[in-house]
Amino acid sequence: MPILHSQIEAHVKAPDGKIVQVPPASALQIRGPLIQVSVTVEQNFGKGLIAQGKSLPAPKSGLALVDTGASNSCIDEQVAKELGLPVIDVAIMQSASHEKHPCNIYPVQIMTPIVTLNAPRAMGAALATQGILVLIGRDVLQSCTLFYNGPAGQFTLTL
Amino acid sequence: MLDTEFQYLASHRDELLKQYGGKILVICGEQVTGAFDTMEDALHVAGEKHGLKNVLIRRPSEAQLEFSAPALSLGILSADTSQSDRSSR
Repeated sequence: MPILHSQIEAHVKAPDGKIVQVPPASALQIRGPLIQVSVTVEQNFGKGLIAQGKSLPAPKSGLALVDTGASNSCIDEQVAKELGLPVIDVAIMQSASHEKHPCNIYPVQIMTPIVTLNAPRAMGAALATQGILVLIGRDVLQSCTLFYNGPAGQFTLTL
Repeated sequence: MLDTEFQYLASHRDELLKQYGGKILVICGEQVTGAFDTMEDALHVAGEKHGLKNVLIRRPSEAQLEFSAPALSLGILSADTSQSDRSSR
């Protein structure tokens, strides 16, 4: 069983100008459960492309945030376009503070050094402005176990 | 996006339901190019037949998917990319 175990680090500038490390518990609270990932087209879709002798889009790298509040995983819309991912549906994004609006759905594969996660229906959203490439939502988490160890500033994701 | 496919689906929904039941359809333009029991199979064949072209993949019986991501909607994801993390097995 692949196990991804991560401890978040964060640094801040102290009043005297020195860069100091934040305790792990605070780092996890500030930054959230982040994972370095790369993304490309979803695995099964990719197999279909390869069967036709076509090449897969070159993966793009960035940060994924595990977001148990998100019903579905999301990919940065601009990156999805740069990868040339196909739009396979359109969904409606609900929001308490904004009007509902449509967003494209893309078949996405999220790769970490340890686990590969398939998000066959990931939403396109403007994530890059918030420093994120991917949100890992409950559609992916439904096949994972997530252990969030706040006091230790660590989290563990198993597939 | 996928306007032609959505219009086709809306205007042929009853007919498609009768013909394909609960299968997942791959619709390209005004044509059903595949009907599958699983999303995995639908995606595989969509990649094979259509490459990276936009095609509609969904069950004709399904309502449009709605999703929520409160932190995203509110703009409070707040990742600071100037800081680092480390992962280990």
